[in-house]
Amino acid sequence: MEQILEVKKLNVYYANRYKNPFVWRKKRRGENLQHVLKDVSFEMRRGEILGLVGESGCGKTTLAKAILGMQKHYDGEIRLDCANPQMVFQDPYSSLNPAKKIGWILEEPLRMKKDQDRLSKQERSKKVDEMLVRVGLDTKLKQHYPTELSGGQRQRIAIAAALLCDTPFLIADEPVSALDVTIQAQIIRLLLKLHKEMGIAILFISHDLRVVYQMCDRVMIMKNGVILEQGKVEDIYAHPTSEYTQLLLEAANK
Amino acid sequence: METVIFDMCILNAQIGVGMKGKKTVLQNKVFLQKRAYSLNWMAGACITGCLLILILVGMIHTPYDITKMDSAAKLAAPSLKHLMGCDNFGRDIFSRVLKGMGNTFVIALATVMIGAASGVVIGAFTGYFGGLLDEVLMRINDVVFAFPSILLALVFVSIFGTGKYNVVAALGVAFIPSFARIVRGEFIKYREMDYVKSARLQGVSHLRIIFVHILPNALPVLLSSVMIGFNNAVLAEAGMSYLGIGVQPPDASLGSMLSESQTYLFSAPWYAIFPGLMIILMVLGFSLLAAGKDTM
Repeated sequence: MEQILEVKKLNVYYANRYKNPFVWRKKRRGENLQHVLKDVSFEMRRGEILGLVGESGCGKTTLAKAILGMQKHYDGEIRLDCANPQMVFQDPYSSLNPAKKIGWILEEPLRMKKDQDRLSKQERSKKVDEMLVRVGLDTKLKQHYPTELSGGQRQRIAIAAALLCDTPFLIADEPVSALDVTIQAQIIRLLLKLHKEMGIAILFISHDLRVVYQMCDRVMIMKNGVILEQGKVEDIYAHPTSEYTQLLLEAANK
Repeated sequence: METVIFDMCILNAQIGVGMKGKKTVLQNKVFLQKRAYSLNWMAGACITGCLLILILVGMIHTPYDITKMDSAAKLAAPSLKHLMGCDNFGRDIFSRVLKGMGNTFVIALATVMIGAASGVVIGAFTGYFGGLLDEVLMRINDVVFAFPSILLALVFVSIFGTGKYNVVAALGVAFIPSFARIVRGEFIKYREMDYVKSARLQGVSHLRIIFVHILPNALPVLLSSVMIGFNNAVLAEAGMSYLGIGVQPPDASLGSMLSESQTYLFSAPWYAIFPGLMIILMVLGFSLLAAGKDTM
């Protein structure tokens, strides 16, 4: 299978910004750099689910941002063979615009289609209906505002919005960690089902090893901006090479 | 006795039958509690509504010509013929108040619209994009903000001359910074939200994100500041006309009427009372609307 994402020697630095206008910018730049991602290299194939595990603050979200082009300054090479990568965010309460109805939110990516792909109002509404059914929601929800929905419903809407862009690549940034356990299971099942149906590649970011074991084909373990190990989920869970992974597994199996 | 009334109320509520003509104490209390939240809104709507009707009437028709002098009716007391009395030239104060309110209202509205429209655009772009543009525009904003708006308007008028339209332009410019600052704050808050990021990923342009995605979220805050801004504009216009640099005589304005009435404060108090009352009512009405807006 061909690659959809290739990251080579990715380094990201965060500058601790001064707000002192009397210090020249050039002088400021060298100081206080925080090395967030250190020589990160990996690749992803089309239609694969890759897990990214690590504790909070280890650079998982920074990596996602860099891949999506939201991180302007980085060293290294990121080759993403996909025009419209999408992302599902951790917090379902801030990922939907509270001023708009669900129907409007879901139609927005369809409205953005250019020239020959442009859809009429009926077509858009029909596609949105199909997608709502696909993620297991009632089409009546189109008339509601996001504040009237539960966390699980919102996360389904966020997934639906991402999928309406016809993307082959999705980043799920801890999509279930803000939800309770039963809803978590539902969302994971939904993601797996959609993955099977549509064959999208998913970079699944999580700190929950059990969830990753359920979902992913391959997994990367990350700590302090370094990828400690990567490989098949079964291999890594059976024979962890790094101490940190062993620690994580022990904590998860308690 | 109290418990009995209470039980009856519950009974009434349950079976849905009110006691005709007999309102119990408790029912009144419940009624008040339910309505207390929107009382501001209702009172504000009543006052503003009445004034708006008066203003509209004044634009179409006034009982007397506002410039017609009548030497027989100099400083006449309020009567059925002259509802609010007459001024020192024998002009009907009621007619002049109607016209003056119209002038004040239109000037205040135009001022707020100029201020809010420019403020929204400036605030939205600086808040959303940040960076150098933000720094430069906000420092200019701070400079303008540092002067009292009426002082700024005075400078403007002394350069470009007096008159209605100059007052509108002067006050409008003076009102931009406060709106820009409020809108900028809102945009800084919302630009980091996840839904903005996902809209970017969906290929939505910056302009569309600013005006279609974020602006509706900033509207509630904007609306209350527009209402407060309107009050300030009414007061500023009255103040400028009072100083003689706003609406020019013989055209009527509440502020200029107040300044003329000073001389006759004791011989004809109604000359000062009615224009002053109208200014108070205009500001009060909109303040109440602003206070009750959230619970309407």
